[in-house]
Amino acid sequence: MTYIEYVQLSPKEKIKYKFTSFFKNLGHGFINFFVNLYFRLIRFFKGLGRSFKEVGYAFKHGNVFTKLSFLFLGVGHMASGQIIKGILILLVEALFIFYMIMTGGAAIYGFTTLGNLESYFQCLHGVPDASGNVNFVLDSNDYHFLDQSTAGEMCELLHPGESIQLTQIRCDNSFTFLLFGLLAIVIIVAFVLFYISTIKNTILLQERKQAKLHVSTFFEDIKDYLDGKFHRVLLALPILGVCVFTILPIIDMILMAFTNYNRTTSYPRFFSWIGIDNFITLFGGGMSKSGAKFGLTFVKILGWTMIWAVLATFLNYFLGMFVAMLINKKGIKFKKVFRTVLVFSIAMPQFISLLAFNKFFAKGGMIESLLKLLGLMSQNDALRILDQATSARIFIIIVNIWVGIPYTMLAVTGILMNVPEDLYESAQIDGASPFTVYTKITLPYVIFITGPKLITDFVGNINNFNVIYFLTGGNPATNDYLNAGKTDLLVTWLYKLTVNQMNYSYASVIGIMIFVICAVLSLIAYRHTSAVKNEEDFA
Amino acid sequence: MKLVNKQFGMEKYASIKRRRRITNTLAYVFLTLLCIIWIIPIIGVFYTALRNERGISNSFFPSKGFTFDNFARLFTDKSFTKLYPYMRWLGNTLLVAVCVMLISTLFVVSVAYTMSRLRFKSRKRLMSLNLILGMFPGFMSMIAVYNILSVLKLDGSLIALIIVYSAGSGMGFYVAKGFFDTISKSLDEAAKIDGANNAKVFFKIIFPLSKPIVVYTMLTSFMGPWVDYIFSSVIIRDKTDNYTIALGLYTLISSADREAQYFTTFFAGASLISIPIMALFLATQKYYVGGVTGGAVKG
Repeated sequence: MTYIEYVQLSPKEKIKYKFTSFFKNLGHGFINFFVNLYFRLIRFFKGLGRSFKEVGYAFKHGNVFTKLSFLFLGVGHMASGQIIKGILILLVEALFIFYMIMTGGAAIYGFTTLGNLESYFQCLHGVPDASGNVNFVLDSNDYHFLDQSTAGEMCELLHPGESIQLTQIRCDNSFTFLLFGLLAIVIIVAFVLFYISTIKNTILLQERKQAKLHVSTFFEDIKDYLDGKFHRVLLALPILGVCVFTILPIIDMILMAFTNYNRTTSYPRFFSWIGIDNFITLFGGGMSKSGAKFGLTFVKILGWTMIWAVLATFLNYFLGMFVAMLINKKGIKFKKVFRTVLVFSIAMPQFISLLAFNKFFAKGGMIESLLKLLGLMSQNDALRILDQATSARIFIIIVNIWVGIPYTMLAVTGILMNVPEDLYESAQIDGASPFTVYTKITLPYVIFITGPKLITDFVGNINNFNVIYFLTGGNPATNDYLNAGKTDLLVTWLYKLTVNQMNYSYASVIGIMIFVICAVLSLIAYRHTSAVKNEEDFA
Repeated sequence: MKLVNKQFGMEKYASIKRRRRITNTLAYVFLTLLCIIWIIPIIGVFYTALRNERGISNSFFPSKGFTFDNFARLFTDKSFTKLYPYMRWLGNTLLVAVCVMLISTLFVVSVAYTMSRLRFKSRKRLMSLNLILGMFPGFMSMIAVYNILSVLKLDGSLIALIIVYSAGSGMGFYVAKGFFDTISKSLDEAAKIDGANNAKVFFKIIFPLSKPIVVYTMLTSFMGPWVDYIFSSVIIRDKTDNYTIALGLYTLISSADREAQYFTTFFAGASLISIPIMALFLATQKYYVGGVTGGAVKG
């Protein structure tokens, strides 16, 4: 449909058109997401192939030193005159080999099995003394028995007539196996990448030297880190932090979704790979009762999470923007006072203000006494806002508006102050009305800057832990759900599954589902935000 | 003809003025109402802290008078501080907050600057990777983080908490990047023509201009440990000595019998930490709204 056609539609048809096109876009976006993923994968493998080709080229055309570099990285660098760099590279290789021999290989093996031995039993024996106390000593041969009954029998056979005691020794901690295995894989991948780029560099250096071009000295290399490679210096530490304490744990948790890491295994630290069983339970788990409950709970909570995220995000955004515009309106005095009062609410730590809300609106709380004092409620009644699903949910959304408006207000106020003055000046000269100025300059500017914020806010609200946890704790509780209450979001359910139930494998499945939902939704939205498309437009 | 025109103009002007007066009055009424609604819960917290009783079971109105006993209990009541060392919690949180503030500000500012001003091969890829990572619920990986920290023998320690709060902070660079985006590129270009390298441009030109965003980042990261409950609850668990303020205060009302004893004490402790944080927030508010780069290039 062209623009002209669109304009000629009646308002009803316009809305209908927008509505259908939204869902069409959603579908397209969803499909595109996977198509893109496919192309990305292809591109990735093509890039990989190119890298290998270049390595092959280096082997074919390299001189002795370059060829030697395939075994001893860095030799080529030294031959080309980059002595210090060559030594450092060689050191990295030596460290890698040392690591692989010492722990890396074992770690990879451990990763595949997640440990073989859950525990074994030791036999302790001793003769009671006069007062009946027994001084137990370890059996001199220190046999390891795999199961308790055999251990008991054998122990009695070995030490007839004595008092027997069995101790269970925990052996393999599957989590450690998982973690160190993962670490080993990461290190190997990193080393392979390092290897390829070094080889590429080596042949490049050799050719430069042959062509009698300048080969950079170590000092020049270092100096380049302050200019052309300055981004590496700035990003090194933050990326390291993210890798170790964000990416590694995330991969770890993803892998946990494919294990039976929950309390039902006898020793919670000992678990093994079970494939995609957890996902099967979630989607088609009609087989067992608890499986069906898992799927049902997921669907129900997902529905409420979506309603919550949409309402919370857009109400806060538009109401906050409205308040900000109102405060910044020309001719309004005491701007600072209004702003300060609103900021008061976010200045107070959330866990205090939210808990206060919870306590004030609870049965026998401040609001109830106030209502009774004013005669709006009979003395025998109790305030039951938090006891019923619907009222509790409305309560949460309203309180969240209270939390959210000041944040949006602050963000938008800052942006409003930064709208380039000359835009307004030229609009004034052209005789634009305040309304036009608002719709054509202010609003697009604000949306331009805050567009990504809207998306991150949406994702943030899907994962909004604080508001739910402190306001209702997910209650009112219900037996229809698996370990969750009526106001629980997916993320608070996740919390309950991990911290209270220690059902880590189910929790990981939930986490992955949350991610997929957030990823699909925001990739679609992100594609349509101008701030990303035309990043440099307003600069 | 001219006269009529002028009169018409005056009339139009007067009507605009009248309309503006009406809308402004409406705006005042609305904003005042809003402010009252927003301030009541805050007053409620302080009011509860000053009440002359201990538990939640009492009816709230009328009050039995006011007292500072709830505040005194936090510091002087030996039987209370032995179980709930409020001072220690304060110290822990302050220590963690200061460290986190320094590390995260460094991280955030460098990442934001890099993403905003420098152009390099993997820039776009890193940005989308960051976006993807942000979509995992931050809490999801906490169990894994806890296990990693226990492998490092750091679980339950304050260092672990500092790491947890600051290690991934570089991912939250969007606000700061938005700020750097608005600083005119011609500043960099001018400096480059004068022979400055990227590092010099950053330290000598852009960084001095970024005071508002640095303060903003410091503030938000300093606030983090004071207001966070979920991460510290997973990391610290039952090591009461290493509790931060949020964890500690929450224990005061986490069970019905403790709530009956310490309900008002909780609010006293809570309002005590709220006051400095609020003051900090208000004192630095101007950094949020100050027009920043208005005349940087023109002048």
